[in-house]
Amino acid sequence: MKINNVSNLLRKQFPTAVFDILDKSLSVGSFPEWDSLAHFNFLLLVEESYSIRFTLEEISDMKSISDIVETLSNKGISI
Amino acid sequence: MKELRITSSFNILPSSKLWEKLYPYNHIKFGDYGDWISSIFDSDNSQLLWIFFLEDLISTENIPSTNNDKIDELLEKTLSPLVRRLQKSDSETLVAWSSWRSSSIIRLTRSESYWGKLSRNLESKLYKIASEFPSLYLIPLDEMFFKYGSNKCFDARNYYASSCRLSIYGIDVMVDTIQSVLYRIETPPKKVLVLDCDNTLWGGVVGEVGITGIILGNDGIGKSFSDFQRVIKQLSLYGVILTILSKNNEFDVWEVFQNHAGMQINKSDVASWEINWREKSTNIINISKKLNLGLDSFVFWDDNPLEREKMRIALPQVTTIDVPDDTTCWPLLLETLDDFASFSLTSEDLNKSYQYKQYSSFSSELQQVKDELSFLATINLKPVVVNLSNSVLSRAEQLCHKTNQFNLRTIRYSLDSLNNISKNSEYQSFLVGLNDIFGDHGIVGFVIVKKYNEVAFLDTFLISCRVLGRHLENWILSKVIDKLLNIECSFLLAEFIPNNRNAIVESFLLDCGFIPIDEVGIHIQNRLLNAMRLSNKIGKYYYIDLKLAKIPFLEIFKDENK
Repeated sequence: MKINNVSNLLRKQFPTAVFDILDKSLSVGSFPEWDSLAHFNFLLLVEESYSIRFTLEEISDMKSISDIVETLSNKGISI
Repeated sequence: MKELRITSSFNILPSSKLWEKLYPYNHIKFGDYGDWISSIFDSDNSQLLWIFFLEDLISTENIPSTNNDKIDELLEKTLSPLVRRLQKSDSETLVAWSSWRSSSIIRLTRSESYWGKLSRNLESKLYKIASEFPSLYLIPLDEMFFKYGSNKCFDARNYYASSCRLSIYGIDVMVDTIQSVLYRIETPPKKVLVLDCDNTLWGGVVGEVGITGIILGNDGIGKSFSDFQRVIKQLSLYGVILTILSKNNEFDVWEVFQNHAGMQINKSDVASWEINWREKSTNIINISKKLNLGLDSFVFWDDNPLEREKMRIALPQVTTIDVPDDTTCWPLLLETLDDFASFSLTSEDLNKSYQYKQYSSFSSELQQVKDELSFLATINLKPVVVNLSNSVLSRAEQLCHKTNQFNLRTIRYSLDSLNNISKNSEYQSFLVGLNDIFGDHGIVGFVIVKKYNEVAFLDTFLISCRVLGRHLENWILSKVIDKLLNIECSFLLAEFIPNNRNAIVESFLLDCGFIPIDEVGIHIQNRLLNAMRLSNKIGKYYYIDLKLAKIPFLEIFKDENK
């Protein structure tokens, strides 16, 4: 199974956290470090990495890796 | 390495990599945003950086209905914890703030805006305090936000998404600004400016075009060279030592200095020079020996990128400025250069501060605060109980999902579950709103209690981080206890489930007199746990005897019952 880029960014955001990088169902709260504040930082990292900007609605709706992948694909970015 | 406590009125994205730029200078400890009051009070032994947006402190709903005296009083009150700290602690205090609010240009054409007046009032108060306390460093962030573009620095979406007033770019600008101040606190300014001549002090090469052919003075590009020299002259008046390092015939250079009308600096302004054809790195060492000053206090300014690169490689301890090719930018660049800037504290300033500490004259008596509690007692904390009705269910849900710090069990209830809880008579649940002189904070607390005969179980107990440090949790707990005594409960059982950030809740329980149930007899343990028919325990259990409970700090609240 291939590691997608969003999961790689998750590793970059949480370098020391314990999680399975292949698990696409990971979401806010899956490990203690990933709380709502850190989640916002993570979304900003995703924005920066893809040079895009999410709307407030998109930010509120994205909770998991698969949500983020889906939002990115709606913006024409395939992972 | 010194500890630097950072506290802020908004989310400054502490976990962002951008803050790592400060790590080499200080041991950084971030507070939670919104807890600036308690951070200012309990950081006397460390350096403190207080970052705020005026909008976060002074609620806009007060404006402009409130009269000037009121606003003045409000500002003084807001700054009083800062003044108390400065009186008590010699550790450096940095205050970084932004008070800018955009307005219609039409409204500003005939009268000063209320907000503008307020922000200038704040600024003058802060500088007045700074003139009395040398350990205070003011960082007017708007200076930098304007320079780099306020539209790029401020970010409304981030504010509504996560209470972060700035964009990543804005955070970057802010961190760089703070870094340069911290750097200057640790490192003295540079002392020596080393200048090239041709195409630096004037346009053209004097050895080729002669004194009449160089570009200097009058208008156009010549004026920009003259202005550059004016800034150099100004620096020398501030005490910067001027030196010249030029590959030229010495005679040609001094002829320009003495006979060209556009020259702003004189030969007598130049402390030392090496005008010859040797390598500049060799020459600069000679100058350093003549002046008896270390190379690390030298700044090298040269239009030639090759000379700059050679200097950087040969002598990295010299600060080589990466000057742009466009020389018209130079006057402003040199003027705003941080390398020579000092905090300009004279012995008179220091003396003044000593007097201040003895006679303390800044605030009126009203604004004198001895400690955190007496300060909190003056800010009119007015909490109010809000029943869990349909109109506030979604706020309750939001609090359950977003609160991490002051959250007893971090149970993320859905709207449906909360709806059921609000209709079930076994539950006691309510929200808490809070108002103080800084404005209406809205609904910021939420409690759910479930009754099992004589035992009540504290199912949810949380407070939004933006009002932490006001002891609101104590008030809420006292309300819970009142309600439970009315319905004949004897004990309140609390289960603390640790998440990454909520250690604060456990210490709160202990401060209020909760007892870990592992530390009491098996008889009472069974009585408590059997009442709930509890089989598997997840977190740590604490209980309190409701009739004996004495909750501290309630005297600071001005709620409806008083």
